[in-house]
Amino acid sequence: MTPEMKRYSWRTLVLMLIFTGLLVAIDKTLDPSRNGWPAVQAWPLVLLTCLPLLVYGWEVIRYVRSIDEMLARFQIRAAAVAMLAMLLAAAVFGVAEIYGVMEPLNMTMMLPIAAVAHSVASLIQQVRVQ
Amino acid sequence: MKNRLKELRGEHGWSQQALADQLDVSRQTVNALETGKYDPSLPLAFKIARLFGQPIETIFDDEVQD
Repeated sequence: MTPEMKRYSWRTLVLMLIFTGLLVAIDKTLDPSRNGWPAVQAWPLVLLTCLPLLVYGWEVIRYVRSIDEMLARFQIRAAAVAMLAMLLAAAVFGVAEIYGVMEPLNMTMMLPIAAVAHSVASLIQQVRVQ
Repeated sequence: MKNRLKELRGEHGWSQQALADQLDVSRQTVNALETGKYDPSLPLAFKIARLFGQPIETIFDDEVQD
């Protein structure tokens, strides 16, 4: 496994944990939408919550720039796996929400699931060619 | 696809990393090429042929690897 891949993988995991943590913490403690916060006051929280996603985006760009054609092919395959994971998660969360089992917040959790699925799929493929 | 990459690399006394550096790819890619797990793109195949100074068809054989 290349050092770039290691860096990309662990940063994806950490950033998604931070994103999820922030999302859940703000929703469970402040709950701006239900506590009548004016939209303008809630925007800084939106930006704060999305900060790990921006860093994640930068990590993706950085990693993609560093890879060669074989690793790029792995990334495409991994993206397909991530897309599948996201579709399945969307289906499960969507149906569960209709039946009142989950809150709308959980729909946002598709992104970390897809990001981590993408990273893990990439890792598995790289380990298989070692 | 069969190829003579490992043999040619051995003749030049290069490590996988050294060859990877010259081809501007990762060591994993060189390893995957040598073990037949990955078939190179046409530009990479030409790059390999130029590096070893041989025609592509003497390095790569489109017969399916066992």
